[in-house]
Amino acid sequence: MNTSPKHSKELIRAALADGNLRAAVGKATGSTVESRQKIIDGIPYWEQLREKVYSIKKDVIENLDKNLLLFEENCRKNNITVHWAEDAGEAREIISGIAEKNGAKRIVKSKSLTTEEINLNNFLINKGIETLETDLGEYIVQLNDQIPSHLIIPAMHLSRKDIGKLFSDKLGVPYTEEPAELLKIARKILREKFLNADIGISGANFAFASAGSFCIVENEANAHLTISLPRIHIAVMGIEKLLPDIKLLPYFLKLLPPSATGQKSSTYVNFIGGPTRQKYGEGPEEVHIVLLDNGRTKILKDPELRETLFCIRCGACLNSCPVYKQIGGHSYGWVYMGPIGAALIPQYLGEAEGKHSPFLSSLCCACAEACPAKINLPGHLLKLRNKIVETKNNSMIERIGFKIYSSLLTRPLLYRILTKFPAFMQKFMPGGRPFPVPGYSGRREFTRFDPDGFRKRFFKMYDK
Amino acid sequence: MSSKEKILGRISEALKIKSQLRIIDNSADEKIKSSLKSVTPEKLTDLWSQFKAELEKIAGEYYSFNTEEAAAEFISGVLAELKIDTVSSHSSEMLAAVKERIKEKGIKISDACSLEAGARKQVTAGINASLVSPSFAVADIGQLVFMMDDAETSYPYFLCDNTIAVVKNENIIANQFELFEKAEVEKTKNMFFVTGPSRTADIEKVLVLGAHGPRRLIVINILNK
Repeated sequence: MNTSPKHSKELIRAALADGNLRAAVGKATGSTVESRQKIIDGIPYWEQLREKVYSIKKDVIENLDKNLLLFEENCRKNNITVHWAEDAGEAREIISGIAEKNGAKRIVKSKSLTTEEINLNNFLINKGIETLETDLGEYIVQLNDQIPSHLIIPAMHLSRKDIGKLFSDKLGVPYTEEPAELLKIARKILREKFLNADIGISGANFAFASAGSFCIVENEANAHLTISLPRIHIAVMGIEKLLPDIKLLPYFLKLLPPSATGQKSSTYVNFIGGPTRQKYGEGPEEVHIVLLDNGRTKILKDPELRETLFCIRCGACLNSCPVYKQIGGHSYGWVYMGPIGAALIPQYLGEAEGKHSPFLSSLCCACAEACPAKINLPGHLLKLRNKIVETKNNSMIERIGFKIYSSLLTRPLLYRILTKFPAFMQKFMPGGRPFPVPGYSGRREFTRFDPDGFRKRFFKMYDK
Repeated sequence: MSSKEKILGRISEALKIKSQLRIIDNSADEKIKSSLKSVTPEKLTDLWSQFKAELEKIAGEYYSFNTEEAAAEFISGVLAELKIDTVSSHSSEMLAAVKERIKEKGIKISDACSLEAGARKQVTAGINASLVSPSFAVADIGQLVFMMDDAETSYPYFLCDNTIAVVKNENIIANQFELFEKAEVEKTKNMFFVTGPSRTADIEKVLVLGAHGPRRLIVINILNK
């Protein structure tokens, strides 16, 4: 099956037919939403935090060029090498160049959506460099030749039985479906890899222009080992991840863990402010940071949609989305999924590739309520839908349908006559059943037309 | 033209288009600060009570002792129970007295800082317990703050299965806002925060401790009364 966003419809059909997937996603998102709410209930200033974070992100984005230059200057003072990459290809070349220059044979990675975005693993593996994900969920999906299905819980779509079988098949260990045992197996294998890795690659949750440093938030400690054990560290970061001042971080650290995992605080926050081996006798000798554009400056051009660059990749919008809960992450066809993915895909990949993505939302606004950065996701999805229509990337049938519909709405008499027609014809359906609608009635019944019609009902109510 | 120039050029062009983003309520910060103040205990003992409650919620353990001697007695007991005869540690004034006393009880101390990088990671990874001293404890979330300038190594904390962290009674901070206000900027460049034992819930959301870091975290507050 083709797994690009363009083929979302086929991916969705497959997901909807998979009861196990829907149960797994429903259970995991449900428990995260519950834990999140418990934490939020104990933070009386939650709404003010969201407001504050919005204002910080707005300020960063509206002064992005200045912040980036300050960040680069301060990184240089801390002996961090800053690289600028216009697109995924350039970022991959920079990273493989560092690896080749240093004769790297093994790379350990901590979870980074930005490296997923540039498809880094396959590129490095094809160059003969062993490249291993070390976050348990990421390790599982890498073993399964998949991409993550959730921003925070990458293997959400797999059951413990699936993972037990996967470990047994791929790692040659006796079958077990006990999570603690599965973790023990992964930990033992990965600990050896960590101790003998040449390069560590990570993303960056936040970077600080004023300090020339960055941090990674995590729970497993694999990110810390990725930073501190290998001789070289490379971080790949979208240009929007900056904060002007490290002192603003507590606002984000209060919002991110409850939104992401339903925790009051993540287990670890690791700060990297340059090579440390000389000073402390451990940690990296070289630290590189790759600042990635890859379409972000295109997003910045839109005065409203630039708000989607505020995303802190917490996944709260996914957990609250009724559509995501039904179709899971792989149906979106790319590394970003859920409401934020639906908004980012057409912006990063273009309207033709992402023509279905903004429609994968019921516009119920649950995502906007959950988003810690207060991104108006339903509003942006509507705007993106418009863009897809304006660029004629919607289907021919839809275009004709809407032309007919709009000509009807502008002719009241014709509208009145024709809207009576379906209710009249409905009488002739066998057993009084509703009309079959192609592409809809296969799994559920279409609603019966009301013989009174909207107009009559409206005026009845109005008269009352 | 370099990639940097091209990216910065595109940003400048994009920013010429006036933002249509929401107007911000500037009073948010004041409300956060006053709300924080209202929930922050004033007394040191209350801050530690808050720390203890938060740490225990996330599977950490908390003990306080009046003297280093009593703390050392307890630590030796824990290590004996775990059948551990060596602990990995770092050079810290705070730990000196405790280390001396547990050595007297027959526990060997492996000083990670005295080993060069390659040997340090291999040796430390082979030891099952560590004795560390964080720079601060953060009360409202049960968090420990390790500043590399104070600790000089993170390996004992991350590579050993059981961690015993000894904190000075006065080194408790109400929350992260206070931490970033107090801490020197240089020190914040290389540091790490620890909130409970390492964990994952990546398989069916089942919580398992000891993902890649320690399975057990014991925090000891020495009151020095």
